[in-house]
Order: sequence, then C-alpha cells, then structure tokens
Amino acid sequence: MSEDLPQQLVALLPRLRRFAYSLTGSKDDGDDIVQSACERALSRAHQWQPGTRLDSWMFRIIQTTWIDRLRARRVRGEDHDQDVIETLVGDDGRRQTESRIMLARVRQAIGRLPEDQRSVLVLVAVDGLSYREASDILDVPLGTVMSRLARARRRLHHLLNETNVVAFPRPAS
Amino acid sequence: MTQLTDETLVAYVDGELSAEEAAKVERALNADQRVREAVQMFRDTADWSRRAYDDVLHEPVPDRLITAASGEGDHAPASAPRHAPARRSRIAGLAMAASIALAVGVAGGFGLFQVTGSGGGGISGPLTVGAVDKSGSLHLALESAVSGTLIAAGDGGNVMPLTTFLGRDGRPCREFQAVTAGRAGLSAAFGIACRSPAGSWHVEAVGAPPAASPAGSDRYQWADGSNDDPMRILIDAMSDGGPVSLEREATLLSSGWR
Repeated sequence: MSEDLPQQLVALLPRLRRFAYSLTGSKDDGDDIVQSACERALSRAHQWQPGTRLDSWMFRIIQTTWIDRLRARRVRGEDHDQDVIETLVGDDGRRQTESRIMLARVRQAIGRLPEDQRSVLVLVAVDGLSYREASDILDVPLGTVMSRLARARRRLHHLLNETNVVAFPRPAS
Repeated sequence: MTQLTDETLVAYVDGELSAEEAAKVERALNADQRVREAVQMFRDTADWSRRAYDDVLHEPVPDRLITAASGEGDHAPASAPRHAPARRSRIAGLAMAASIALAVGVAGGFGLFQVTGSGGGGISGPLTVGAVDKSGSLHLALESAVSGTLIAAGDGGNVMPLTTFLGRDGRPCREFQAVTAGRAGLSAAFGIACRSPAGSWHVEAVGAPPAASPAGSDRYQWADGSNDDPMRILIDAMSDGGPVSLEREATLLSSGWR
C-alpha cells in the first residue's frame, strides 16, 4: 500500500465532494458517498497503482457507490436542494441572490437528467475532465460520452427554459 | 448547408476536436445561424453546470471526511497508515525565517514567532510560525488550492494561497493570506509556508497586512513604514527566481508536489 495514499486522498476531498454533490444533488448525500468511497478506497488500496491517477480511480469508486445506492433505495436527486432556502435567508445583494437561485435551479435540472447523462455531464462540464478520461472512468466508448453529453446539454437547456416565460439568462462572464 | 451533428458541436465547445474539424465548425459558425445558436447553448449549459457546484470547493471539508480519507475512521483497515507524527525539531526552519526577517529589517511587520500547532477545522487563533495542522483548512488550502482560490475555514476565517515558489533547499513554498478568527474578531495576516518531503506544511514567516494608509494617501504602507512588500523581499531571499508560473503550479498541485 502506498504510504501517501491517505494524504493524497485528503488533498482530493474538495473535488470529490463537488463530484458527489453534483451526482446526488445534495451535499449531505454527497458527503455520505465520499465517506464510503474513501473507506472503500483505503480497504482496497492494493488495487491502486501509485503513479496512476488517483482522481480517476476515486471518481470511479464514487460513481459505483452512488449507482449501488440508487439501485438499493431508488432515490433521485430531486427536492434535495436546501440552498434555495439558505439563499433567501442569507442574501447579500439582489443580483447575487438571483444568481444563486439560478444556480440552484441548474442543480435541480441536472438532478432531473437521466443518470447516464448526468454522470458524463458532471465529469466533463463540472470537473473539466477530458472525454477520454470520462470514458475510462465510466467504462463506455468515446462516442457514447459524446452523444450522452450532447443529449444532457440539450435536455438541461430545455429543463432550464421550460418554466420560464423569458429565456433562462446567459451566465455572467 | 453544413451537416454538423450535436456531438461534433459539443466536442467543439469542449475543445475536443482536431484543428481540422474545429476549422470546419468555425466556417459553419460564420454561415449558419442555427449552428451559432447550438454552440452558444452548449457553451452556456457547460458554464452553468461548472458553476452550479463550485461553492462546495470553498467550504471547509467536514471532519468526518478528513477522518475517513486519512484512514482513521472506525471502518478503516487496521493496516491503514496514520499521519506521520509532526517532526519535533523546527529549529533550522525557524532560525532561517527569523534571520531573514531580521535581515530585511522588518520592525513591526512580523510578530508572533512561536512554534505552535493549530488545531480544529479552522485556523484557530492568530497565524503563527510552526507546523500546520493536517486536518485544518490551512493545510488543505496549501496542499490543494490553486493560487487565488479562497478556502473557507470552519471558524469564519479563510485562507487564500497567493503564489507558489521553490525554496533554495528544493522545498515547494507558498505565500498565502489568512483571515483568522480571534477574540477581537477577524484579523488578516500574510504568511509563507513550505512543504516537507514527507508532506507536512510548515509556516516559515508571518507578516501583518499593510496598515491603512495615512489620510490623503491612496497608497498602502507596510507596518515598518516602508513601501516595499516584506513578503516579496522574503520570497526573493528564499527562492531562486521568485514565484513559478500558474502552469508550473498546476503541475505541482496535480503531481502531489513532486
């Protein structure tokens, strides 16, 4: 077992949390999954080859942990977003609040995507991984990554605009 | 009329096309309004997605996760390694930091030269020279945050790495600013910390931020009355060539500082 695996895991935690949060739509559920995934990773540390990318390996473990839970509990990532309430309570400036409400709506819309599309979207668009890396983590062909990603973003665009009388605003640059 | 699939356009937006394929899309962008709209839509949805979960990066990581990732949880196998105990002797590093501080003649700017480990999830009290607690926000920020990223500490404070440089002894070092919660409320400080080969960070120097400028002046002034940034002088003294580029920093961060 690599001596510094725990240390590298700790350093990765912010990214792992963001990944799990984007999969589950809830920070608490995401953190539960990150915790299980870390325990899983350390208990099979012999499977990790030092020198290979720890982030890809951890993303794969988080992804399978999440799928296991979905199968067991049939939970969906909807109605989890408590940030909307926090936003309304702790606002500091109308413009910022609006933007935070929109981000909460984006999270809700991503939570309504089919699971296979969401996984690709969060690996590529949220974490910024390459198509090749996403295809390795999810164990699907590159072409599948591309088609799921295109469908996920079309669907997301549709979800964000379906309840709006005016078009969903462009993100501020 | 061009025949470009959604897959091609999404790959164009994500920078996954070859130069030749990208040029084809760019020609279509000029000619076809629908292509422009689709590219814009794929770009906007990626931007929204990227930003939707970013806040979690700026929050303190819950202790239970740090415990689990460190192999110190109840479920961890007995063979899981624990953190290496903090080294006892800090004399050399301290002496170096102190002598450099003296050499640049900082009078009021640097205080609090004492060895201490800070505890808890936050930074806990005033920033001091000494070992950085591996479970705290300061360690997390130094170890994994890109310069310019604000990492919140559990106690209401925050840490932002400012630059990365390589010390003359080969250790990677970072300049950072820290806002810490104390009895008198929040206070800001700057510091320089270096990373041992074993992976622990050590604060080598601490400086107060520039004092508020005298009335009528729009310039900040350092506590010793000079206009020279003492941190910059220290970095020049400690490194061979000053801060590294952001690209180099990214390489160091992703390789675990090797």
